[in-house]
Amino acid sequence: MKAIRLNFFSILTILIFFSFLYSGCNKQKDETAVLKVIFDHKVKDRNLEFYKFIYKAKAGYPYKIVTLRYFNSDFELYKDDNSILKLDTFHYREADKAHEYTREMILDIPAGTYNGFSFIHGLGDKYNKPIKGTEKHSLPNTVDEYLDMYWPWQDDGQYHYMKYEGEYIAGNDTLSFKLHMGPTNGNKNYITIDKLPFDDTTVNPGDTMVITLVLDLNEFIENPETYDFNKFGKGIMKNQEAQDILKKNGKNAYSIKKVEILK
Amino acid sequence: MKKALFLLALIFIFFSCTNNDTSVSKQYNPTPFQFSQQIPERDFPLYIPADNPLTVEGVELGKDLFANKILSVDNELSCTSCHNPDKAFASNNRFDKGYKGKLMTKNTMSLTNLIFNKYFGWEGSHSSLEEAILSTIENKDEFHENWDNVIVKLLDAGYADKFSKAFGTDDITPNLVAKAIAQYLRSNVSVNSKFDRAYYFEDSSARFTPLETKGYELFLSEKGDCFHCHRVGPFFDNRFHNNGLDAHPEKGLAHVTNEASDIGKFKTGSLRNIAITAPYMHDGRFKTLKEVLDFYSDHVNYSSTLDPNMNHEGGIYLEEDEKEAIIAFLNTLTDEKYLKK
Ligand code: HEC
Ligand code: HEC
Repeated sequence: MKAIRLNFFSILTILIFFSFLYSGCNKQKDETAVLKVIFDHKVKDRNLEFYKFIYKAKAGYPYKIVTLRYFNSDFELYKDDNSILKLDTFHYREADKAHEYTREMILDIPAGTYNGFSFIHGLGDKYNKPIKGTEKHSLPNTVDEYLDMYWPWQDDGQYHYMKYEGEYIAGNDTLSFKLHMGPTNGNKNYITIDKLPFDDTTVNPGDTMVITLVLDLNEFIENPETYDFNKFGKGIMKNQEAQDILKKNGKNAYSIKKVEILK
Repeated sequence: MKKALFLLALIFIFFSCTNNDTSVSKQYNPTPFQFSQQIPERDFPLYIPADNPLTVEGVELGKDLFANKILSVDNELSCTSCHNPDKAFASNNRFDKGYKGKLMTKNTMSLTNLIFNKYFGWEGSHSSLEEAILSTIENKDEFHENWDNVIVKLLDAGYADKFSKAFGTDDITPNLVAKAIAQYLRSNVSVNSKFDRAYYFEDSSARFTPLETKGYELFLSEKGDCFHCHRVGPFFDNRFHNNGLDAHPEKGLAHVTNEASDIGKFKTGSLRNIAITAPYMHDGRFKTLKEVLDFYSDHVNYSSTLDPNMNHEGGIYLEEDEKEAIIAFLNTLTDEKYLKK
């Protein structure tokens, strides 16, 4: 008798436990939606095309773009109730052709209504700690591309924030430019991109909200300050004056092209 | 209660049975390979395919095959004919001789630290080490051998047992030959130079001289700018660049990708053990490190794919003492212990 009762109760317990687990899972699933951020580019009013002398810098030089790699981090989504959802992560974008795999960042977010997006151009403090010796990197050390952003003055931080490189024509000379941003002489030098607002957009459980960002590369050398390739030369990693201009100009370089809901 | 236990036992037996059924033959029990030196994890992603983990038996078999002429036609050549183990598996010839003495068209590469590599060959022809090895054996200008012959020769020489120990099967296949050699090459790690002891392991007996320090600083500065391609740690970057060797460069990576923007790009050579792997560059055009530094200093050629990290005005214009300093630094990348192995 005793054994049967025990069995009955254990079955009941198991049943209750599983139904609880099931509804628990379901409930969690119910609230979860997906955020997909697409990192796209333009150069003033043209598309980004590599290895073509089709752009003109305000300082007067025709230029071409060869390399574009950068980090973003510390993403924030703004909710309709004025609260902020912090997305504590980073993204590496490599736009030189053949590396399109870095075009999208995909994350789980709670379902809800959102109306703005902000982030850091570069890496926030957590992701770019000063290190030495055999200390661990701030980012996973299993990805060559991150390690390739190596910044030599590791007392300031470990990574370039951006490598934006190409060539420009000055008179008879074809020269190279390298807009390498990173922390230097105690200056953090990352850019805080303020809230980019968009219309109230509701993402339901299981659906995907797609935010397409566009980074206008011409902004770095044009607006509000004209950046003169010739004046700063190729090596600007420790040149705070150049970093300051890029910081100021980069502040308005991003815009949101569209926000869509995928069911 | 007893019933429950019985049931449990039944379930257990059932699962252990299925386990037994799916496991490979009992004798196949390879020993995981341990590196003889510490690899400073932070700067070195390891590329080991999931289907070819390093085992003691696999590495041993690979080492044997690597030095074995059995893989080539008429047993004429082995890998070591060109990749000299005493020279970090490079060669001091500009071009080595392949099948019937035919000269190769590229400088033999050092086969050290391949475990950190994603692409193989100066032009990136292969994106897996196993594939690069298969192609060498089949290559008309290198081993010139066909696989049926290789396998017959290996069986005749009694290799079935070694393959069985390494891979759990005595069915010798081209893939297993390549896998064994790949394991051996991945086991060849050299990260114990003076630089490593000073930089990673904080060994006070490996302190840099003022000249070496100056060289390292130049290497890391935007004047020298070597570090943007020869990344600190592996001293290469798993990428391809046009570093300005020629005004009308060879196709290079474009051979593989067919993209005009890849013309003149070659795999960044590792600078580890560079002091002993002369001559330099994909065509072995420079006999000494001094010649390499003279090139980077004054003879960089412009072409439309020249890397932006190279100075487009002919070079970085180093003083003689600066060249000396960079060479002194490059000498700290020689790993005596590895070379003695
Ligand atoms: C006749 C000389 C010769 C022989 C013999 C030879 N190699 Fe090579 N090896 C070369 C040359 C030359 C290159 C560079 C080829 C290129 O990039 O086109 C090379 C490149 C390689 C690479 C690419 C390394 C890298 O860093 O990208 C691997 C791997 C390799 N060899 C493995 C082997 C193996 C394994 C054997 C024996 C089965 C072998 N080689 C036999 C001359 C030789
Ligand atoms: C733009 C990227 C880049 C920069 C900057 C650069 N290198 Fe290189 N380096 C390469 C590439 C690519 C190769 C192989 C080129 C070839 O063989 O065609 C190479 C080859 C070498 C080699 C020969 C390697 C071998 O195995 O034959 C040495 C030595 C070398 N570089 C030293 C330096 C030094 C010293 C500096 C700084 C003064 C420097 N490099 C700067 C890309 C670069």
